[in-house]
Amino acid sequence: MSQSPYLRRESAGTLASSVRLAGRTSPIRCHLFTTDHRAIGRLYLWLALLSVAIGTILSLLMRLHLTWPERVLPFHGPVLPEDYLALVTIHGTLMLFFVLTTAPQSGFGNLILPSQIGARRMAFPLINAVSFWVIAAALVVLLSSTFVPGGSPISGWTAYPPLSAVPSAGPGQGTGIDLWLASIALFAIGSTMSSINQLVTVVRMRCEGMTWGRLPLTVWAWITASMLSILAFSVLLAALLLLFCDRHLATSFYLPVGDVVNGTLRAAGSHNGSPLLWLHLFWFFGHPEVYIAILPGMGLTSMILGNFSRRRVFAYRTMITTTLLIGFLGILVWGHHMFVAGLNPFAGTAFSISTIAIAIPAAAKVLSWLATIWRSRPSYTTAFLFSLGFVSLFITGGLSGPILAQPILDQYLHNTFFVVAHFHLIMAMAGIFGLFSATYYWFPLLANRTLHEGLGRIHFVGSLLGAYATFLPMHLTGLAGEPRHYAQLTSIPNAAGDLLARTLPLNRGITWAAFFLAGTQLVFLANLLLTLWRGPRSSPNPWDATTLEWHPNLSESDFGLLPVVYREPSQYAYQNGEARALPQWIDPALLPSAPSTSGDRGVS
Amino acid sequence: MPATYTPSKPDLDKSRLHDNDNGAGRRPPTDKRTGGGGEGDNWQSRPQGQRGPRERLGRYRMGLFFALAGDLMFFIAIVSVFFVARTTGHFDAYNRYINEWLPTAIPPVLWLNTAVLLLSSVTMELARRRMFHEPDVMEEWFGLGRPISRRSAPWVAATLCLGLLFLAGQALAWKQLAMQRVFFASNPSSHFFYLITYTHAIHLFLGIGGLMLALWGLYASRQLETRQILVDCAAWYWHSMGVFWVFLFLLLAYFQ
Amino acid sequence: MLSTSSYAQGCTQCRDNAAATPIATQHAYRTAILLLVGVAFGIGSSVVLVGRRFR
Ligand code: HEM
Ligand SMILES: [Cu+2]
Repeated sequence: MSQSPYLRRESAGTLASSVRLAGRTSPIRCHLFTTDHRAIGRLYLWLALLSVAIGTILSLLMRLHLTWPERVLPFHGPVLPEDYLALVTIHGTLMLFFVLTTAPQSGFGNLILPSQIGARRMAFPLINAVSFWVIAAALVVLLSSTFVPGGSPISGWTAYPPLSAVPSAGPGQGTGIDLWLASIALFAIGSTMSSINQLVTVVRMRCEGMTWGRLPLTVWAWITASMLSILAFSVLLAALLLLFCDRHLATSFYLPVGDVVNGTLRAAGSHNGSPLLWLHLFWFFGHPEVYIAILPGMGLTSMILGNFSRRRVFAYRTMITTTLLIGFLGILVWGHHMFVAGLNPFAGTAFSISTIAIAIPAAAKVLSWLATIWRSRPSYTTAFLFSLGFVSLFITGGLSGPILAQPILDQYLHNTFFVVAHFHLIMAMAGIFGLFSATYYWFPLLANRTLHEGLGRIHFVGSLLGAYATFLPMHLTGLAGEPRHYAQLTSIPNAAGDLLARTLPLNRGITWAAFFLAGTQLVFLANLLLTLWRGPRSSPNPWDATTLEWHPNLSESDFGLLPVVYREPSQYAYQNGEARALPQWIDPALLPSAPSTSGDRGVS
Repeated sequence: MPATYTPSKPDLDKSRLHDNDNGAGRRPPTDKRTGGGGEGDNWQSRPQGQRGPRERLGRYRMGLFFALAGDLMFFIAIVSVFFVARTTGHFDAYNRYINEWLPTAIPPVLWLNTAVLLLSSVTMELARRRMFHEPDVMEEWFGLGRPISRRSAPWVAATLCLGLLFLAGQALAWKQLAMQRVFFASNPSSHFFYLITYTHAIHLFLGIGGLMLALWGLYASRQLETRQILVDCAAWYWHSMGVFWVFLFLLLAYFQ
Repeated sequence: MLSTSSYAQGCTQCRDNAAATPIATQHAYRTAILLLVGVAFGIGSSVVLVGRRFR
């Protein structure tokens, strides 16, 4: 196979067909207002990087305030309770929507998905660009909420009414939350568009031989998440619309009668609604949303573990099924967020059972990951390490899921830091580890360079230790009774105060760990900048991978023939102890000798 | 490893570079299952980008259907809230259970509107079928004018008028209700009446935009396939809005 | 399983609230939940079925 890395570099980030005009088109046009999926994918990643940086700083401020409440912030003054809640809200919204939804699904989805299925572009390039700009606008709107009178909203990323529906509920609940609503509505529209695009691309634009059974698990994860996005974000949009009506059009979908807000009884009007409705609609969206955030990481983990241990992914077909199953079951379980909200006990039981049922496909995934690397001799690259970290965090975070899924236990745990520990391990940390894994793995395709492996290892070890040191103790403070969304742990003059005071030493430890975790990310940033500045050129397929995005003629160029796919991903020929990769695109007729693959069952 | 790049033959072969094989200069743009190459030459088994003149159409249509699926969920969410709100009440100060829901009387003009919308779906379907009428397609392919656009445009225009008529009828209904002092905020049931009719009307405005785009495309676009896509997608969207309306209307009329 | 989990809602406010919900409303919630789930499942399954047609 002849390679042409220079060609790949030149056409990076532009519509390759405009390469010939490159002298004439302005860089802004090429990189910003482009319809090229790779350029758009990069834009998504930059957007996510910006959001994650802001979100991290906000989280550190929260930790600082929790442990040293009397500290005064420079340029700000004392941190009021509403400031703390605003921090929680913007942190959660940024991280969940603008980092964990955009980066894996739209960022890497755009960068990698088309080439992984052997397509030159997405099905609707223009819509793709539009959806990015809608999401970018959503980010701007969200961040602008800090600068309006009253400041940012304070009702968390879940925006429960009646507090979110009543402007007098708090400083940020006026214009601030209106902007929040607008931002999330834009985000919902943008995500729906980009999901439609991805689905159509995968259904209709796979190259020859790329049957459903041969699709990489990453692609399966992306389309399952896309399907969930289309279903979930539409419902969220309806919920936001109703909330908007409650706020501005004097309706009462979510407003109960006799509602006391900030000490005043709200006028009794025709308030006939129930906040429970918002909870249903929101979590109908919210639970699929957390799977949208994690599914791409799951798919990538399977592929990376297989690639670096030179093994087939264990039970490939079953992994496809479990991906879909997690998607379908994910629609069924939203009630587990509502056990203490006055849900009908029968419904509570039903949701509890469906929630525990979803642990089955999740456990199957874990088993497949472990079986894939079991007694292999993997090469411990940084990408591989981060995937291992993903597995570890997923298991640790997953163990607390079935505990929370029991209404009796959740009764106590619901509003405590135990839940915070659960979802930060399984979603936030596992998701971020998935993203890092993807970054280290695909960086050669992004920038034609490889990130420094030594720094990568330091980054990995620091992040793993930091993640566990930060979030494991939260289980304990939660069990001890530390509430979430709570601005103050100290100087409360009663028994509750004593209880909270006893968690303070642990909480200080958590704060130190959080700073350590965030500090470790500077290693990554340094690595990123150093590599972009003068990192080593990567060879065309540095990881000896088997999936199509590493095809020599496809990666950054529009030229050449479309590839043809002959087998499932991660297939290897074993000859005297050596595993030789059989990329998906290599014609069996061109192979030197008949290799002893372990069964190619790629026809669907 | 060569450092310079010399275009080879397939690189220069334009038809493989871009997949808009619209058929205009090659095969007739009709939906034949074979590409004319005889046995086994099935468009569906070719690589993507080479699957005949309906490939792009199929892609757009599928995208539209996914979008409509999302839209369906949007309306279903509102409808499910409708069911709950209809029965929800509260206890007043005397511990009596009060349900404030008073059904909103449906202005009779809505029946007429429904008929108009259904009729507009018929005209739209006629327009859509016209786009794929094979003798006309062949005629255009032979270069004998543009019978497709000529025959389809009046039906699209008719749909547009009927759509506007429907919206005018809706506006009339809102006015009638306002004269009876039934407003958006009046009662839980009126919340839903207005919410449903407003959101549906917004969707129809989008549809009208689509129809205008299609009409413009019928005159401006040179590629037959682009025109087919525009009219086809506008039609499916329009039909779906018709079906959604029938369900929403029945809900408002009989399930309040 | 049923009996133990059902008593989970130990917090009397929530329990009372749930118990005070009239049958008609409970019914309506059930309808609404099934409607949402049913349609979402229908759409999901039809996407899978349609997908299968494209090899
Ligand atoms: C083994 C499977 C899992 C089970 C049984 C499970 C169960 C639960 C339960 C019952 C809650 C509600 C706790 C409460 O609010 O009282 C919860 C919260 C949460 N879970 Fe999970 N979970 C699982 C996996 C996941 C995964 C894979 C993710 C994300 C990738 C996730 C993300 C979350 C989030 C974000 C919350 C908190 C949302 C909030 O209140 O802000 N969970 N989980
Ligand atoms: Cu959940």
